[in-house]
Amino acid sequence: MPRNDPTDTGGLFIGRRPGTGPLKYRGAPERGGARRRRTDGVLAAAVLVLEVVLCLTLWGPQPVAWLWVGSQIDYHTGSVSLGIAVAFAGMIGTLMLTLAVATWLDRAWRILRRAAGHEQREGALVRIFAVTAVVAGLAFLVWFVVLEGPAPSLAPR
Amino acid sequence: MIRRLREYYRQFEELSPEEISQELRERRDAEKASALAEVPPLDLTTPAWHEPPDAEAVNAATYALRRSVNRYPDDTALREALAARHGCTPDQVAPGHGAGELLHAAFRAIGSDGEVAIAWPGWGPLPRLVHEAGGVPVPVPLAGDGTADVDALAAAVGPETTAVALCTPNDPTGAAVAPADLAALAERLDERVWLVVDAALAEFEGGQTPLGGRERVLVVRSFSKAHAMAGFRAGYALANDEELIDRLSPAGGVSAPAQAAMLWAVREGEALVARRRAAAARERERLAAALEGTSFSFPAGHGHLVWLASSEHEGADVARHLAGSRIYVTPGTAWGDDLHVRVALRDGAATDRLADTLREL
Repeated sequence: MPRNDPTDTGGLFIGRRPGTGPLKYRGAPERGGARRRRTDGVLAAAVLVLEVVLCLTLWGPQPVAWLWVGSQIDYHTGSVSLGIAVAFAGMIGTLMLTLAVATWLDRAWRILRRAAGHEQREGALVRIFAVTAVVAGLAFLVWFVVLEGPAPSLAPR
Repeated sequence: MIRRLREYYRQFEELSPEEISQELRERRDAEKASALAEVPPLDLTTPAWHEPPDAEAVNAATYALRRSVNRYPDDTALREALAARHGCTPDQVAPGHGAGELLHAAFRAIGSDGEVAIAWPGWGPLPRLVHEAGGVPVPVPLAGDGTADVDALAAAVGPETTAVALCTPNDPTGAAVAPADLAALAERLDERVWLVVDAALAEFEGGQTPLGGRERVLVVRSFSKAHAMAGFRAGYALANDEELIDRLSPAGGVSAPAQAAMLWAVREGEALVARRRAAAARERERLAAALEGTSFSFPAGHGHLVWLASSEHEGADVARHLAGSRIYVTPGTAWGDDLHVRVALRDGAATDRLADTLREL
């Protein structure tokens, strides 16, 4: 908890730190009953899971899918460059789209958390994005080094 | 259903930083507008000078505080400077903690077993100080011009009277007794009777209130008014009686910072006092001119204190009317007088506001 009381800061009045002020709403929110708050809490958890899944797709399923699309284009057109370009553009495009959807979900998650009775100041997307990246990276390393081995799978063992 | 759900969850959306800034700007603008529309209070009750003392006086006090506060103060230089100013000897001067404390000590020394005739209305706490000293205050009404009535004071002296006390210039009227009348009163008083002169406002008159040759005369001066040093609690007494001077002098003396400020004021402060004297005279004239043709009048005198009366309204009504415009004066009831109010003048803007409000009554 940031301290801004002069008696806690050696007599200096340091002011309120950015982001530590109370949440400001348009009006005083009227929360529903305990049951509704519980429901909102469950919904918030579901949205959080959805966000995690969505972010995880960025680090595996989506690139793999676009590489497959790229390979199909290469196969049908005979152009490796076109296949790579389409796969790369597709990855960037779905990354942007995924982030937009995740941002929207994160906003919904904040609102649901507040409706459930929590003083939810910030969203969880940044942390989810970072954690899923680390998890996916570790998973890739395990697959690449332990399961598959450093040599190509077609090479003789 | 969906609309209701959307409205329910929308109330949990926070304001954006831009919206918060806008709200704060609107609140600030509203506060500024109300501050501009608000009429500030004008306190004309305190007899202390409304401006701070000269910065050099404060510097002198600060220097004394930092240099030698571990030692007991030595008031020799101050006594000599005051004696030189008044043409007497240093052992006829007693620096003290303000005129009020010196008068308190004086009445304990000379007025504890008899009556003290007091020109009244005079300095408000005088009767209480006499009473606390064990004496009996006897009020003697002022002359018509607001000065102490020297004939009435002389006539009020009886066998039980130990002292006669008067203020000149008088608080609250500002009217001053002529030096010749004061000397005449001193001559007329019985040998055993003290003449106590509260000359706290004397700088506004410009006179030096000489002791004369009489033994039992005590003059008390202050640095709280024209020197604007009320916070220092600094004053001094003059008397030809060394025993009384010893009894009036505070045990251990006056604090070093107060002494330093007094010494600076005695040596260097005359020009500033002259400016304040002129400023007070100017405001008296300004108020008199502004109230010409109205029911209000006040006695001619010196200094910033005005004893204002109306031929149509009682003092309490005048004070109430002024208070309605956030101008605060002291009702004459504090002196047992229903017809007057005491006004401590400040600057031109304050005088104009006072006069405008009085004319509305």
